[in-house]
Amino acid sequence: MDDLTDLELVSRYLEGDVSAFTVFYMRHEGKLYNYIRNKLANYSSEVDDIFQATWMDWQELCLLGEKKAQDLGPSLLFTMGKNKSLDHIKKYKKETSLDGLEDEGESKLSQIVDENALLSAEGVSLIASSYQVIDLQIQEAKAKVAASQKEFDKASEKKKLEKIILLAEEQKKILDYRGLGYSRAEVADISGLSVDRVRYREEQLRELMTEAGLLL
Amino acid sequence: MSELNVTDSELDKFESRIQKVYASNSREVPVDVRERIMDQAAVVAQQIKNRISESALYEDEFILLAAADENEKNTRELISKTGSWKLESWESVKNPDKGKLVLSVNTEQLEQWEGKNIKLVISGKLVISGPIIDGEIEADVDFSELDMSGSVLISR
Repeated sequence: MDDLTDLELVSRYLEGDVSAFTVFYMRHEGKLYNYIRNKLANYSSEVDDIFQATWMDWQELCLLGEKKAQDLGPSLLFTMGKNKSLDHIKKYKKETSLDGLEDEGESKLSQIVDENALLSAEGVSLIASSYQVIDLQIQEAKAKVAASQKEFDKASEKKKLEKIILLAEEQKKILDYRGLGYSRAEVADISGLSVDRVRYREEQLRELMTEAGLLL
Repeated sequence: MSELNVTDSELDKFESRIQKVYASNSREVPVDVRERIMDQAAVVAQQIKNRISESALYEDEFILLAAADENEKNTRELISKTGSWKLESWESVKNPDKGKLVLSVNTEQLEQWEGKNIKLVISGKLVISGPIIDGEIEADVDFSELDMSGSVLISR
């Protein structure tokens, strides 16, 4: 059964084959666990619970016969793990906020910066710095939008910004998945990108990090 | 996509560096956490089996036979206890492992099932999924991927 693909394993589990789940689980266990640990670096006591809850929710989808559990395989797991981690951070912040006010309109950028701060606190400086370098592209694009005088230019820069936000998300995913030990082909499967695109993003990451002096 | 002219070797070094950093920060999953997840998985698997079984239209055991006929063509035969359903596998001359599997409804029940979507699972593997048309549903099957014997489950 070890030679079955993730989707074949999930498909078997959806027919009630628990041994298929075991193979699928063991294949991704360590990577998902450490992915969540990275996201929850400041909340290490919660990692086990979030990790377990992620699998439980995923199994719940299987029980309901959710088609996407079969279609997405590990990609869905990682998305669920990330969302659960971020939900926990938001909830914790709300509970500990002195004035009880939370900025409901929190931008995607500030959310990303929060993640970076957590990683820095754990001392994974290279990863945190890499995230910051990736986010710098977004900040620069935002600055260009703000500096645009004409409406036409502003609209054009906004479109570029949207693309760069997506680009940065892909770069972070690839950094994480490759760092966790997935092969390029596996990253392509999980992230829904082509192998060539994964490689190109890796090249961009290398360039970004080299320019920032992170790979010296 | 434009080229950045990063060589394979440079990229390998980069990946190796990143993986070392992640590995230095990695931890094992605690045994008790793993056990709880596995226990839950077993419960869910049983619930899934129960749900499928409740909706099953037909369950059976089968034996997959491979033989050479008098013309020395390789053939496959799926021997199953057939009641409402008949399972036939067809020979494929070019590649004996690739063939067509036909599931046909007996004539008495034809009206009841015509146009209905069904799933055929053999040994936990989904082999056919789709509507019954003219009393039949068929699919191309790689027989080498099927066990020589196992269970057949047809469900909506």
